[in-house]
Amino acid sequence: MIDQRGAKRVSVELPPIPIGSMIPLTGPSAADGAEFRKGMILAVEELNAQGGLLGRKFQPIFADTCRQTAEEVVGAARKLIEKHQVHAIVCGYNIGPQNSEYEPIADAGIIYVHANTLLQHHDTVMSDPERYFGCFMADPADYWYGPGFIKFISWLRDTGQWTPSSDRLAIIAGSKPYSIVIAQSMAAAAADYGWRLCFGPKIVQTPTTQWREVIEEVRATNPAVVANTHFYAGDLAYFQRQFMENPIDCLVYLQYGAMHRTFADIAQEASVGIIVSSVIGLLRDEVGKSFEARYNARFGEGASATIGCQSYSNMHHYAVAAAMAGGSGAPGDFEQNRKVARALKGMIYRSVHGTIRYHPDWQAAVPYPVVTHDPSLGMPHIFYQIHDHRKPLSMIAPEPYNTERFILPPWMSRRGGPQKAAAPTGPKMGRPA
Amino acid sequence: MGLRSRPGHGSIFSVTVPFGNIWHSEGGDAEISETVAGEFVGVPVLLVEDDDILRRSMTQLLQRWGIEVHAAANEDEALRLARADTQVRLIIADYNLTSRTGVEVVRELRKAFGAETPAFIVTADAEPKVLDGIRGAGLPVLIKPASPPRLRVLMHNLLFEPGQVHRPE
Repeated sequence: MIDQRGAKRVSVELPPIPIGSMIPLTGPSAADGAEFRKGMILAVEELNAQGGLLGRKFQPIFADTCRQTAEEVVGAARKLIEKHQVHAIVCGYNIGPQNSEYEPIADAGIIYVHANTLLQHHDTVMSDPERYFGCFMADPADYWYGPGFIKFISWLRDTGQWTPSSDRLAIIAGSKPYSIVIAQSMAAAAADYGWRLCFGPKIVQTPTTQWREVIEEVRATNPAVVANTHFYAGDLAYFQRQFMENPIDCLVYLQYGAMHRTFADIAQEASVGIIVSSVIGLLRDEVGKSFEARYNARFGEGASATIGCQSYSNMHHYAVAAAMAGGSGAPGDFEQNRKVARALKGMIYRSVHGTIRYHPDWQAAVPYPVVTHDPSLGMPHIFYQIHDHRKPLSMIAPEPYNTERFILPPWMSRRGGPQKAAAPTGPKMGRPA
Repeated sequence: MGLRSRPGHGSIFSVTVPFGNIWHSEGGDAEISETVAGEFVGVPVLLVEDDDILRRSMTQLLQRWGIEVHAAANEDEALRLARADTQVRLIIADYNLTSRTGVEVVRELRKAFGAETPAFIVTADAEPKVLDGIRGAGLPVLIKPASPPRLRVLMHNLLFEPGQVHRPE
C-alpha cells in the first residue's frame, strides 16, 4: 500500500472476526436453516463491503443443529466457542433446546442473538441478568401469539369484517413447547375479548399428518374459530386438506408453518382462506422490498427473503452494536461483550421486519401492537391470509403495515357484514356436499 | 341513548357506544408469565426431596413455571399424598432419601397411584454404578444441581413427547 506522501507502507490485514451461527442445515427445519444461512451470508457480505467492524472483516462459521435437540444445539454452541473462538453467535431460530445452549454461551461471556420465539427466554434471563447479559431474543416470545391472535379475531368481529357464528373457539396444539405455550396463551386471553373455549387446548403428538380424528372432535363442538398451533408446514398442509374434505363453518388459523411455500404447494386450493401469522416477518414497505430485491439478486428468485431476514437483521444489528461499543469480544472478554450488550439494549433498531427494541428486563423484542401501541417501538405481529395459493400471502393486519384486506374463506357461509368470499382458484379439490 | 316503552309491557333503555380500537385495548396481556401460559401451567407434580433447602428451591422454581407442586419430605409423606387421591402427572424423586432410594419410592408411588406415572430421579451421587442402577430401573436421571433447561427438556419430554425420552439400553 502507498500512503499519501508516496512512501511504501506495509498493509497488515487484521484477522477476521469469527461469528458463529447455529442453524438447522439438516432435519425437519432444514428449509428455514438454508434461508438463515443465506441471511447471514448476505449480511456479512454487505457489512464487509463497507469495511467490516472497525476495519476487521466478519467471517461467518456455521454449525448444523439438525433436529434442534438440546444435545445438538449445545454441541453446536460448544464447537463454535471452543474450536472457533467466535465472538458472537447469531442465528435464526432453534426450537428444542429450551435454553440449554445459554449455559456454554454465558460461561464464555459472548453475545448470542437469536429468534427462538420462546417464553422461557424471559425466565432464564430474568433469573440471573448478570450471567445471561449477552443473551438476546430478537423477536417476541411465542406467548404473544396468544393475545395477538385473540385481538385479531376480535378486530375482525368488531369492525364487521366477519360475523362469527358464535363465541366458540377451538384450539389444537402440537406437542412442542412453542405450540403448547401459544395454545395456552390463546386460551388465557380468550375470555377477556368475549370468546369462549369450546375445545382444547388439545395436545396432539406431532409431527403427524393424521388429523381427521381431532377434526371430528372439533366439529362436534361447533366452533366459530379453530386454531392449530402446530407449526410444521407439511403437517399443517395435511391438516388443511383433511379439514377441507368436510369443512366446518369456521375460521381456520394455522401457526407459522403455513407461511411456507411448502404449505401451499401441498395444500394447493385447500389453502385458500386460511389465516396464518408471525411475530417476525418481512415487511412490504420500502425497506422490506429493497432487502427482498437484494436477497433474490444474490440467491435467486426461489429464495425466501421472508425467512432469511431474521438472521440478516440479527447480524446487522449485532454489527452496529459492536461498532458502537468499540469492537467485539472473544470468549472470555466479558468486559467488551458487556459493552456490546449495552449497545444492543440501548438501540432502537429498524430492521427489515420492523423495529427491534429490546425490553430492558426481558432482553427480548417488544411486540406491536400487543405490548406497545406505537409501531415505531415494536416488532409487528403480522397476520396473513392466503387469497391465491399461487401468489404471495396477503398481509391483512396490523395497520400500518397491512397491504390487503380479509376475505371470507370459500368454505364458509356468508353471514352479515361486508365480507366477500374468496374466489376459488386453480384446480378443484373435493368439496363437501 | 334510546328508550322504548309500551304501557303494560315495560321499558327498554339503551346506550350505544362506538367500538374502540381493539388493538389498543388492555386485556391484561402486557404481562408475560409462565404462570399464565407456560407449557407446564397447572400440571400437578409430586416432588420427593428430604433436603429442606433443596425442596424449597425446587418448589419455587417449579411454581415459577406454573406447576402445581405437591412437595413431600419423605416416602411416608409422599404416600400419604398419593393415598389422599392427589392426582399427579409427574413424580420427581431424590435418589438418596433417608430410608429408601428414590427408585424404590417411585415404585411404591406408582403402586399407590395404580398407574405408570412418568417419573425421574435427581441425584448428587454421580457414581456410574448408581446412575446405571437408576437407568436400569427404567428411570431417567438428572445430576444435581440440575440445570433449569435440562429439567425443562426432561419434564417436557416425559409429559408431552415420551418418545423423545432417552431410554436406558
